[in-house]
Amino acid sequence: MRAAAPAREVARHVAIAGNPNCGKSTIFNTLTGLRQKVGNYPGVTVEKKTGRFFGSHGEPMELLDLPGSYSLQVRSPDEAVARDVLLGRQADVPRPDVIICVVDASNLERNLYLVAQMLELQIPAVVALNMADVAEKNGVVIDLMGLREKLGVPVIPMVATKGVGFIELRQAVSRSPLPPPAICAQMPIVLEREVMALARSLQVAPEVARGEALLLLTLHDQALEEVAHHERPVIVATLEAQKRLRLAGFDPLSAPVEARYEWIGEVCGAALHKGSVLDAHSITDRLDAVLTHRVWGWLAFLGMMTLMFFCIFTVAQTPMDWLDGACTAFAGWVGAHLPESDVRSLLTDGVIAGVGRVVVFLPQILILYFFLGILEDTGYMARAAFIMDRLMSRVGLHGKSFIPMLSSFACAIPGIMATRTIENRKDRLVTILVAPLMSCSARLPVYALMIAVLIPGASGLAKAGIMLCMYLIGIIAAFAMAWFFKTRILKGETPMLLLEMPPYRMPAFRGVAIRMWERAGLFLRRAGTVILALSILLWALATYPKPADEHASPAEALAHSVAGRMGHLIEPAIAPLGYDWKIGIGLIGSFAAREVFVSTMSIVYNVETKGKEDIEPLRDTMIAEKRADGSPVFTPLVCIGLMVFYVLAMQCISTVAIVRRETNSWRWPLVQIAYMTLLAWIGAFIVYQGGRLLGFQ
Amino acid sequence: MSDAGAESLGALPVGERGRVVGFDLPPEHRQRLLEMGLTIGAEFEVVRFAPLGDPLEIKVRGYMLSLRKREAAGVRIVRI
Amino acid sequence: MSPLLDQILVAASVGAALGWFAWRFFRRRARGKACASDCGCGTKKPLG
Repeated sequence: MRAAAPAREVARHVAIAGNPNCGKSTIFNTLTGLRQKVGNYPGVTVEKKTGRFFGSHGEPMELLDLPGSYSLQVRSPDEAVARDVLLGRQADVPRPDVIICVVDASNLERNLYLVAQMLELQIPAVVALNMADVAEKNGVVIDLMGLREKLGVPVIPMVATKGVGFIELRQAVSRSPLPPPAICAQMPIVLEREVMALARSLQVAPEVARGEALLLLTLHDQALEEVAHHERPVIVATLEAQKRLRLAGFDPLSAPVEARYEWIGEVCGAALHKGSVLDAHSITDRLDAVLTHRVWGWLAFLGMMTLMFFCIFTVAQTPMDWLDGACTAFAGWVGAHLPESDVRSLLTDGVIAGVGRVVVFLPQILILYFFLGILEDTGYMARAAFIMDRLMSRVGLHGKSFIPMLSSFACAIPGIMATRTIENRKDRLVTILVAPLMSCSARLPVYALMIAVLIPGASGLAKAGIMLCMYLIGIIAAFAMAWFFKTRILKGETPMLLLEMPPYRMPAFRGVAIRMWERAGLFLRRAGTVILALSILLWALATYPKPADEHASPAEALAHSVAGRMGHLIEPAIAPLGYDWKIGIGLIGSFAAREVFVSTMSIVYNVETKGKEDIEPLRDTMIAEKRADGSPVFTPLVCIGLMVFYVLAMQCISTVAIVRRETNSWRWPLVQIAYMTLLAWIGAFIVYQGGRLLGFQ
Repeated sequence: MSDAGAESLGALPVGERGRVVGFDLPPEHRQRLLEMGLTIGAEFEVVRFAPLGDPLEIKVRGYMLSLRKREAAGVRIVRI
Repeated sequence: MSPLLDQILVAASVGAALGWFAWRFFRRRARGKACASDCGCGTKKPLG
């Protein structure tokens, strides 16, 4: 969101709000198309999204997407921002001139709750009665005139997925003048008196005051402190008003909610005529009977997950190979056109290798987002959370933590971003802390290499089996650490689960495609900036200082560099794990990115590798590598131990950066690095020394 | 608030219908249930339980809502 | 290319990389380090 400029450039600022699953995103996407702007790596519920569209007279308007929510009650920083925007208290964001309230026509009653709250804010509003086709099919008859009359604002029937209703919507939003809502739910007199008293004491514009006072009064104590964004006197006044209300027999947290639903009851009584037999949920019911079945539900679930991973790891292979090939070709081109020099090495071994290695993962991430988008759109994600909730709550988490952890199988970064949907701060923190334990795709090359060294001749099935074990270790570790954090350090109640199970519907491919496009752009931008800078720095560490002897081998030069010396430095610490200083260099290099292990090893063992897939020569060299006493370096125990190390260790600067950003402090990323490194070391130690004790090698 | 129904939402089997008469929950939890439409007087139907037994799914105000047995135990109801 | 040019280019690149990190750090500091992200929404309240 740019500062300053928008206010002059657009004729109107429009906000769009609605329940989750009401089709708000479809309307947003249809109105704005690709003229959208988002923050980096938005989560499943996008925090701040704006777009441009044109009113019915061609005037430019800015559309702000507010996160989908069931009410304006603030329970998370995301919702606090939304509320602040609506109250005009958000810096850099002008108060919307008009709000589009998207409502699911087939689910009118509950959807009207948010509308009720919006009306109280006195911002001109337009109700988009979406999914009118579904409502019609279910025999729901809505008296439009009656609804308009009862709500006091324009009501536009729409079928967003078919493009129906947009002309009328644009007209309604462009109307001038646009009067504020005249009607809203009536509160009990006692409550109303307190509201008005509090409103008068607030230092805000009068039209906003009542709405804001009402929102304040319904906040319970803790929230009042944390998310109210108000000065002390106001908070004190609110607490006292709440006390008075309780004494008068009204629960300030419940009374307004109940009053609104009473009003909704009147509105629906007049305008809503539930039709005949056709049950909204019959198809959904039948599908759910299978998909949440004791046996079939699990099978379907596992099948879905397997399909997703299968696609991530196979379908993505071809474009990944292509990208890899392109990088190699580019490096070759640079190598041919520049004389042998440090700059050339910087470009090929530093920049292209470093950035290329990350860019190569784009296909996997896209496929992940594709699946998650489709599953979310169809409504299946709610079922996944429904099924997994019992397990998650055992470790003190939430069914909603499941999706971020699942995303982490491709890359922890989008997974961590997805935790924004988790309201409870502690649960979100725990999910962020354990998400990297879910083996991400960057670990794949390392697993592949070590498995090849471990059992060179074995069948694909055996190799897949070992890989599966590594993934399982990661999952178990994630759950175990979540339990540990929740019960010891970040003690807190298991959060309340309140999950809507929307009816199944066909996914909106266009919306999914737009989201994928956004993700791709952000991912590439990130690669072009942070990763680029990091690659340059790492290259420098691995190249300088240079050995005095100009004809030293690359391996010797590496040993002489800062990175190499660091390898020697940590050798005592990793010797109990069975590693030598060469592996040490690999570990250090991996700190920036896990896949770097493979290329670092290839430099160290002085083997030319043309691409990641070319692990045969490297594998053979590693198998043959011997220690000073003649025993092999890469014994089975070392290989397995190394894999376990990679399962558990935090080796991704990008992830650290994201965690730092999402938690807004250095404490948690450092905690994460510390505990995971410790965990990795202990794990590898147990495998190696424990295995030796048991007589293995 | 004395009420005829001493039963809670968590105790109902699949297929049963009921009406909410009161809450035994902390104000914040109660508020969330209310916002989702589970108000006093609201009618509901128990649809199913998750494969592991928890949470449960109910139909209320025309849509499907999942909640845990723990919270459901705090919702006082009468059967209808 | 001359070795001097070579070293200059390398030093410049490394310097630029370091400088970029420093610039980013201070830019976030100046913005109030609110949510420390680049989404520019101007949130003033930190999460953690």
